[in-house]
Amino acid sequence: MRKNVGLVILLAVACAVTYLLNDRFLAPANIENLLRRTALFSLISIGVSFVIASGGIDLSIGSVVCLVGTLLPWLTVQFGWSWPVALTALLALAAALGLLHGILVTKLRLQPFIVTLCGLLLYRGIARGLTGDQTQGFGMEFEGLRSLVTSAYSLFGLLPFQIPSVALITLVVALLAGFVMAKTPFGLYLRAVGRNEVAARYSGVDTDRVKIWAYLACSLLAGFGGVLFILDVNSAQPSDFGNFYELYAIAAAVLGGCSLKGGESSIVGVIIGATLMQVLRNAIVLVDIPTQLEFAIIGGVILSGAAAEELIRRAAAARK
Amino acid sequence: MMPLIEARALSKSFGSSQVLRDVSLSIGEGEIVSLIGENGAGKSTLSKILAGIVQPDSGTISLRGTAVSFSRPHESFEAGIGMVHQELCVAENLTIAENIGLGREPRRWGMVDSGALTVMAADALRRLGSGLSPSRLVGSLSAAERQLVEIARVLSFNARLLIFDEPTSSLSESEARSLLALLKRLRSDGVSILYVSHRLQEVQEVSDRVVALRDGCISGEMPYPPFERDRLIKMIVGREIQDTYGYRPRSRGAAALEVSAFRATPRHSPCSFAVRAGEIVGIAGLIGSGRTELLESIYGARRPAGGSVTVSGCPVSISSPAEAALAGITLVPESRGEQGLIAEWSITDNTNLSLIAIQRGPALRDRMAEGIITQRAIETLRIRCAGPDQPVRSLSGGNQQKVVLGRCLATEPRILLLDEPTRGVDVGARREIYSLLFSLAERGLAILFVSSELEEVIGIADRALVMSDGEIRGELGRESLSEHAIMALAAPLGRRAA
Repeated sequence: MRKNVGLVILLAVACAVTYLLNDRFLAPANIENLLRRTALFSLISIGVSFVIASGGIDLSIGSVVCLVGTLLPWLTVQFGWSWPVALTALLALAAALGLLHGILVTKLRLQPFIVTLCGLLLYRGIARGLTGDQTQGFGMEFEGLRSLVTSAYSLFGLLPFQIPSVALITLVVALLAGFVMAKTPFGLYLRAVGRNEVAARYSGVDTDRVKIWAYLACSLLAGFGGVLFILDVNSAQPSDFGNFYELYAIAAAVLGGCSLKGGESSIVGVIIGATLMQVLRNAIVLVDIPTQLEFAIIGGVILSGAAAEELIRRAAAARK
Repeated sequence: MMPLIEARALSKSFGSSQVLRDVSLSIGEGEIVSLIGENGAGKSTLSKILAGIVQPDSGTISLRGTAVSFSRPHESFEAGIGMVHQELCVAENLTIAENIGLGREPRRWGMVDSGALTVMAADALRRLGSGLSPSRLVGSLSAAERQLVEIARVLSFNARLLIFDEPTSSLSESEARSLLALLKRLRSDGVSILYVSHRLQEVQEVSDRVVALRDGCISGEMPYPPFERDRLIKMIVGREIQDTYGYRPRSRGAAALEVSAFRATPRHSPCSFAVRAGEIVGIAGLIGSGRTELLESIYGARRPAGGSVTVSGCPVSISSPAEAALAGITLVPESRGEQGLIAEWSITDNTNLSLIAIQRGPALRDRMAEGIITQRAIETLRIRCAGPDQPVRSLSGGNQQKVVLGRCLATEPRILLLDEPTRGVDVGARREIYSLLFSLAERGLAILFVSSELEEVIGIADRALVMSDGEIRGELGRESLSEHAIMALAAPLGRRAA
């Protein structure tokens, strides 16, 4: 928890500056929108935090989001599949891709970077090929299904803004993930594998199985994220849907205290990290910064935050 | 005569713990001074201060009468002080020449002059009497050869003082002997040496003077030979220890581990042997004779090339450590830091990892049970620590080894395999480990261990298997165990004929 102090300060500063420059930041509609985006990105960030904790990396997340997200309307609208069947099939597909990544990384001993980089290229290519690169969407159909994601609850008027349903979904997933990391043997194995894979194996941990599960969970959450993203936006182009999402997810996880060297993760930190990313994107719109500068702003803020945190850490270590 | 280096009243604290207190030490030209003491006594810190890697809080160092202070290792190098580290610092992907010249390569037109570099490296190696080719990759060298490269590197800075920290811990008996011969040769060239070691036999053989540290203070000094073993031990532990091993005979049961026609790797010859419940069997042999591979393939950490393993009469098929642990076999691996422990973790998490891994059943961790198991390990193994949450990284070598043992024993194994059980462990903790092994054997565990220290094999084994070139060359019962008998079997056939 103490590790996240710097991140929380950065988030508070970003919120305060944005609010001072445009007080619409705290308008109920904006908060609701921010919560929705944060929840969606937190979901895929939690997924990648498992893989990062195990000492691996997953670059294919954005393409899995695209594949699942564009094939859901494709199967239901164009081919008339019933949505429960299409949903189940696509989530199974996402899980199978994660399983494949895990097997290639552990049994064939390929580098995770290569395996998932090829995944990034492959799945987007497949999505664009299957759909003929045409925009996929639900149009006016599937209102009921979409309202599962687009609806929001006022929580009996306790809050001045509404809580989007995706925020509740993410909350459940986050609690589950936090529980797994803190309370189950799997969480212990995952951190053991990330810290010292050889020692974990010599201690009798089935390290291959642990890593396979991490990749599976990551792709499954990316696929689930893809479903929620497409239901949220209604229609998407296969050529750019989910672009760079893996980098947002990895950045959120690393900001939140996951070391790319493995062995460390904090679900709370990951969510704060994802929140910071979305607040920055929101600020760019509200403060009238040209959107072309979006990446530059996000990159700059994160880099200065990381540098400041490291300097503070060193100063603290020197005082001890 | 003025000493080469003289350190006066050095003190050093890390956080709240004072590691060195008012320590003074001088080393003359061409003198070999041995520094002995338990783990955590401050030997490493003292040698690192002399090498400029760590800065003292107070105290002075003078070199040939001139006060010096080093803020970086580089500066002590230039002043002629070199350190050969316990964990060898060589880059495996570079050649011998590149390693020796690292950081000060001869240049021409701003590029590395590889011809001059090779000449420089060849000169440095020749000075050590080594015929290694400078163009070989360090990754292809044995531990002893790497150490030679490291020594050549340090010497090529025109070092007048060499500091060796546990130089023989990764060497076989004969390699260690040739290192000691090299040290004596360097001494006759006028090089001064500070020799830090747990191995008293080597200290006795090579030293001109012995200094002992205990709890950060000089606890004794023997200015000239002979260095009687008992007195050395007394200086280290502060009390007399009669027999380090304390061998206890005991009764033995049925065969617990049987290995037949077993080949660890394709270059191993098939071997068959059995270890009975309550028996302690040692495997002796030179480094590279295939001992570690044999243990690791029985444990499933590497895939055996053939043969079968039986545990208490039941054939088992083991293809991973996880399966070995389920079959009741556990291994204390050769390298604590890389294979045995997760250094950043607490004693609790390390102690329970193996047990949780084989329990497969429960979906949730039971923190209460984990705490009890840890407490029991701390008490029975006498792990000296601030508490169960202390990271194992901050424990001394002996206590780290006890945590590894605690993790292995928490699974209640029937067969305990140990690879170099006391490497880098001080005399006091060694005794405790030996006594633990005897009481485990009394309770019916079958124990099979590999050791490079002949004394240790002779001291604790009921029976020893001697390996050479991937083959078990012979078996020696306790009554016929001697260094001579083991070495006669351990020498590779080619060399023996010569």
